[in-house]
Amino acid sequence: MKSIADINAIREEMQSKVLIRDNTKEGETHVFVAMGTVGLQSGAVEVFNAFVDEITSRLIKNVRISRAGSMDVKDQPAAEVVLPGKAPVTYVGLTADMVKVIVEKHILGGEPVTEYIVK
Amino acid sequence: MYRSHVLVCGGTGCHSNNSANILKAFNEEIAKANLTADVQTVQTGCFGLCAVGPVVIVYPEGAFYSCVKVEDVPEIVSEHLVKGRLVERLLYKEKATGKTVKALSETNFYKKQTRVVLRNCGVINPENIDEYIAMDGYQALIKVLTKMQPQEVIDEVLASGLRGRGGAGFPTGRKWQFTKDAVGDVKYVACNADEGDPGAFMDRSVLEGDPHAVIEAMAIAAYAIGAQQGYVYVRAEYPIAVRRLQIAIDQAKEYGLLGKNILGTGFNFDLEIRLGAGAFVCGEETALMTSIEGNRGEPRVRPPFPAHKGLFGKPTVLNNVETYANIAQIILKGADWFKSMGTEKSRGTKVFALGGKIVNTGLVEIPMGTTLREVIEDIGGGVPNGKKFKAAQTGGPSGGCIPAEHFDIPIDYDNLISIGSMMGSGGMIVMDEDNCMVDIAKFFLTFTVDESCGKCTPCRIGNKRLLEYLDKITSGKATMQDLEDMEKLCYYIKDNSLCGLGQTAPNPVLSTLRYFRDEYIAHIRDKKCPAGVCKSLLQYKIIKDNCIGCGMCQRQCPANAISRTDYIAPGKKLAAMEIDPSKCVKCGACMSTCKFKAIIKE
Ligand SMILES: Cc1cc2nc3c(=O)[nH]c(=O)nc-3n(C[C@H](O)[C@H](O)[C@H](O)COP(=O)(O)O)c2cc1C
Ligand code: SF4
Ligand code: SF4
Ligand code: FES
Repeated sequence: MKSIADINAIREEMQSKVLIRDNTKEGETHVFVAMGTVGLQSGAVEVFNAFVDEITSRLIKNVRISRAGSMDVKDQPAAEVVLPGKAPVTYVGLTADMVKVIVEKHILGGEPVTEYIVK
Repeated sequence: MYRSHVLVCGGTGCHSNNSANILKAFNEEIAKANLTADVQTVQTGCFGLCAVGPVVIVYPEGAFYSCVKVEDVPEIVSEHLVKGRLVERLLYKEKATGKTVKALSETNFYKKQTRVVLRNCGVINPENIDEYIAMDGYQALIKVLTKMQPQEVIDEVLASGLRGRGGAGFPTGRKWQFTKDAVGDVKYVACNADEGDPGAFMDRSVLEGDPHAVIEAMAIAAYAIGAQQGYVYVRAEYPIAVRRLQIAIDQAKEYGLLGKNILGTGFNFDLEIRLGAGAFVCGEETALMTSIEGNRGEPRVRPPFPAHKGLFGKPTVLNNVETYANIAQIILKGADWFKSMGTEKSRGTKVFALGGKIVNTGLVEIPMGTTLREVIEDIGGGVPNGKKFKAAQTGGPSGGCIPAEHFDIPIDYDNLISIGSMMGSGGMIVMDEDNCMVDIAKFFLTFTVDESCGKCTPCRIGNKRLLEYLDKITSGKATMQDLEDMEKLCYYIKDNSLCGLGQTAPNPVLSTLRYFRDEYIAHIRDKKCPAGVCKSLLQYKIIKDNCIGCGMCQRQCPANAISRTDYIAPGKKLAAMEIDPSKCVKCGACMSTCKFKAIIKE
C-alpha cells in the first residue's frame, strides 16, 4: 500500500530514468560525442556518460545526445554542441566536470564556453 | 544509472516476428560486453510501424532499427553500444523518400501524428508500473480523489467534448452523467476491449503498451459515477494484452491504486478481466454485458440503456479502450487543451489502423479533422507499386467506403456519416484499382453473416439473402431487377434488425452502390469484373502470337487445362499453347509463370 507521497516520490525518481526516451523533441539541441578509436581511448565514454547523467538528472528536455564517429580534432575526447538554429560548437579535451559547465552555460544558458572550444 | 536504453517492441506484430528472442539476445550480448550496468533493455508495446518490425530503438540517439533479426543483435551491441557507431544498414529507410532516417521522431510517419492515446506506447515498459508513474501516471486519479467532486469530473469530461471511440461516438460525459444520475446503490464501470472490427488493433495495442492508462481511467469513471467494481471485457485471442493487463492490475493492487481505501482517500474500486470468445456481436454493449453475466452473448432490446439497466441489471458505464485512454490526459491537462485538437463536434485525436494497399501499414494517431489525403499520402506513404488509390473503407463491417472524390474530406464523426461511412473503431483499409468493390462488399457481408447471432430474423435471414444477391452478381447471373430488390432489402434489414450488427450490416453494400454503382452494373450487364477479381467473370487466354511454346504454363497448371495447338506463331519455333476454359479453375498460376506476356485475363 502506497500513499500519495510515495507515488510522487516514485515519479520524481523515475522521471530522470525515462527522460532520454522522449521522442517528441521539438527545436532540440544536439550533442554529438566523438567516439572514434582515439576518442574511445582517451575517455569518450565517460564524457558521453556525463552528458547523459547531467541532462537526465536535471530533467532537461529537448536535448538529444548522440554517439558520433571520429572527429578530426587533436585534443580528445571531443564533443559538438548544436543549439537550434546555431552553428555547431566543438569542445575538446573534455572531462566530466567540464561537461557540467557546458550543460549549465551553453545548453541551458545559450552561451558557448569559450575556454573549452577548439582554437 | 543507465546511459543507453534499448527498446524492443513486444507488440503482437513484432512478437510474432520473434522479438522476444531479440530481447533475449540483447540481454546476452550486453552481458558479454560488460555493459549490464550501462544499458537497459526494455520490452515495450507497439511503435506503430508494424510493417517494418521487429522494431528496435536505441536511446539516447533514438536510432530506429527496422526488420531486426536475432543475428543482427551482436552487431548492434558491438558497433552502436560499444563503439558508438550506428548500424547504417539496419536503420529505417523511408520508402516514399528513399532516405535513411536515423530517429523515429524524424520519420514522416511519426512527425505528422499527435500522440495522446498512444503517447506511452513504445516508450515505457508496460509491465513496470513505475515507468507509467514516471509519465505522470496516476496523477489524474490523485487529482480527482483529492481535489475534485464527482460532478466536477463529469463536467470536465463533458466540456472536453470527448466522444466514444468504440463506434457510435456518443458523448462520454453525457453517458457518465446518465449513469451517475440513475437510481441505484450498486453501479458498474466496464471497458469494451472486444475489438471485433477485422483490421483494427488499436485497443489491443493500448492494452499491450499502456495498460495502466485504462485502469486509471476506469477508476476515475468509477469515482465519477459512484461505482466500486469494474470489468474489462477482452477477447481471449489477445493473449499478450490479457497478460499485460493482468500484470498491471496486480501491480496497481499492490500499490493500493486499486482495492479498498485507495491511496488512503476512502475510495474503493476493484477491477476484473472477463475473457470473451471473440464473437463480433459480443462487442455490442448489451451482448457484452450478457456475456459478462455468464450467459450466451446475445443482444437485447434497448431501452433500457445500460446507464439505467446494465450489468446485472444495475446502472453501468461502458466505454471503449481508446475512449478511456484519453481520460487521464483530459483531467490533467484540462478540457480546453483537449478541445484545442480536432473539429468543433469531434474533439481530440483518433487512432487508425492502416491496412490494405498502403506502404506504412500500422497504427497512426491523428487529430480529428485531418484529411484522408494526409493520412494516406503523408503518414501512410501512399499506395504501393504506383497503383491508383480507389477508396478507403472505414468503420469495418458496419461502415462504408470513402472514394477518391472525397480524398480531401476532414475526417471526423459527422463528415464520415454524411458521406455514407462511419468512424467505427478506426480500421482503415485502403483499396487500389485492383480491388473490386462488389467483392469488398461481399467480404464484409460474409463476415457479418458469419457473426450474426441469429436472434432476430431480419439479420439472420435478411443478410444471408443479401449475400446471395452479391454472389449472383459476382458470378454474372444477376439481373437489373435483382439489383433493385437487393437495395430494398438493405433498407429492410437496417430498419428491422434488433441490434447494431444487423442495422449496419448492409452499409458496405449501400456505400459501394452509392459510389461504384457502375461496377455493379458492369458485373450484371456486361458480365465483366472491371478490376479483374471476380473469378467467375474472368477468362484466362493465351495470345497465340506471343506464345513461344515453351510449355512453362502447362507445367504449372493444376487443372490440366493447357494443351498444345498446332499453330506456330511467326518467328517462333514451337507450337503455341491454349487454355480450355471448361477445365480452367482460374488460379492465375500460368499467367504469373509466363515470361512472354502471352497470357492475359479479361
Ligand atoms: C456489432 C457491434 C460490435 C461492436 N463492437 C465493438 C467493439 O469491438 N469495441 C467497442 O468498443 N465497441 C463496439 N461496439 C460499440 C459498443 O456497442 C458501444 O457503443 C461502445 O463500446 C461504447 O463505448 P464508447 O462510447 O466509448 O465508444 C460494437 C457495436 C456493435 C453494434
Ligand atoms: S441484428 Fe443480428 S446480431 Fe443483432 S440481435 Fe439480430 S440476429 Fe443477432
Ligand atoms: S489459370 Fe490456372 S487453371 Fe487456368 S489455365 Fe492458368 S494455370 Fe491452368
Ligand atoms: S507490433 Fe511492433 S511496431 Fe507494431
